[in-house]
Amino acid sequence: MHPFLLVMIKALLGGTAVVAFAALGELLRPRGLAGIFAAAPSVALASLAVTSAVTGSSSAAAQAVGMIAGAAGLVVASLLGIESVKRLGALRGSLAAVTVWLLVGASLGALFLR
Amino acid sequence: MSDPAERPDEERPGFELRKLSRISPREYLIRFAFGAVVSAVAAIVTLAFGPRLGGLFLAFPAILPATLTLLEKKEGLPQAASDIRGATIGSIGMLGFAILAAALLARNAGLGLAAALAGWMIVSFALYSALRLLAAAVGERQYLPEIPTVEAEPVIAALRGREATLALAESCTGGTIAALLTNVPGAGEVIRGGFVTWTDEAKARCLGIDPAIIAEHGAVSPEVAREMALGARRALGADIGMAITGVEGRPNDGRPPGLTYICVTGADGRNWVHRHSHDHGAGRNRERDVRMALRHLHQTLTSMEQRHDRPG
Repeated sequence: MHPFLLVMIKALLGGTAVVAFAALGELLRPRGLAGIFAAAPSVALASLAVTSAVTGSSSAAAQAVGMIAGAAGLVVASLLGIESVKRLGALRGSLAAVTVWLLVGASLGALFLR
Repeated sequence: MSDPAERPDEERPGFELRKLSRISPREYLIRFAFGAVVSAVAAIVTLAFGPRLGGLFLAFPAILPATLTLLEKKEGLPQAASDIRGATIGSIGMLGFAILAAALLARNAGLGLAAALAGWMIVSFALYSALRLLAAAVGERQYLPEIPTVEAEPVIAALRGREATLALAESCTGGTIAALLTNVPGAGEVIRGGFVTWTDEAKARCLGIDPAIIAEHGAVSPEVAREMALGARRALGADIGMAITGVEGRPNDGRPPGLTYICVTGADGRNWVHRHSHDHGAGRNRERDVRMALRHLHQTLTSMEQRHDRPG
């Protein structure tokens, strides 16, 4: 498959999956449950499915290994995000959390994913 | 105001179909764009640098779009913080997803993904339930909002800056605003005092509100918020009066949970009433109320300062 087409298919399905999980999360109460669905592996689910189908499951498994590092970074970012959003406001707090995610994920990636 | 003992277990998990429409098409569009961009980035990085590095982006923080869409709403902050609490649990679940996917995908793609998704759900919901049980065990259901005193500091600074005194009248927040403000060093110079007027009778007796006004408009109304602020200011001889009245738990007098009126009144008799109506759940409504009251108070004080500073 042409790389551009592959990227487009993943983008389309990834976006659809995020919307589907967000809608599912909104159906649930209380709000905390909606938060869980906001952090659902929707993009991962779509991307890994496409990778498995197109490139092969060993490539998808390798992506999942990389995702472990990213998810570990996400745990740290979310824990810090509770405070950073409270103290810095929604936009700056989220950006701070994303920066933390990037730093932790990249560090773990550099250490273990070479 | 409702009796705290009567506060229902509002946060019992369940489905609410009507909530689906709470997300606007625009918000869905933003979420779609976010998912598409992250997926594309992950795909491009995979093509350029290999699947492992690309996989890193599959765990991109989904907190961002949720909070970004909330930015437009006035009540976004407590809501966003609440979402992120859930997101923390979800992220641990995502770690479970990634580990299961990495272990099982090479064997069978379909089953591996299904198992990983099931793993995410089990981990997330188990953690969520465990935290709820823990919260119930330590009595967190009746907790007071965790708001750093630092959020009250600008209000005290603004009051001191213009040598103004403040009187408070609180209904639904039960004195939480006064507790926060009086905890700031230097509060003694500017806080005259406050009333916790939980019942209609207390509002009438302590603040001198005509019971007919409460009967006509209801305790949770802009009219009563205004009367409360004026009454507190009058009773304590303060420059500024601030009052809050709202519904935190179950619907009260036909008013839905989450509806709150905050009034700030100045020395010149002018007053500003702010309305908030989003329901965050019994515990979180108070947090929102306290934060919004502090914010409106600070905004009003700074706008007053500007008027004073203006030449002529």
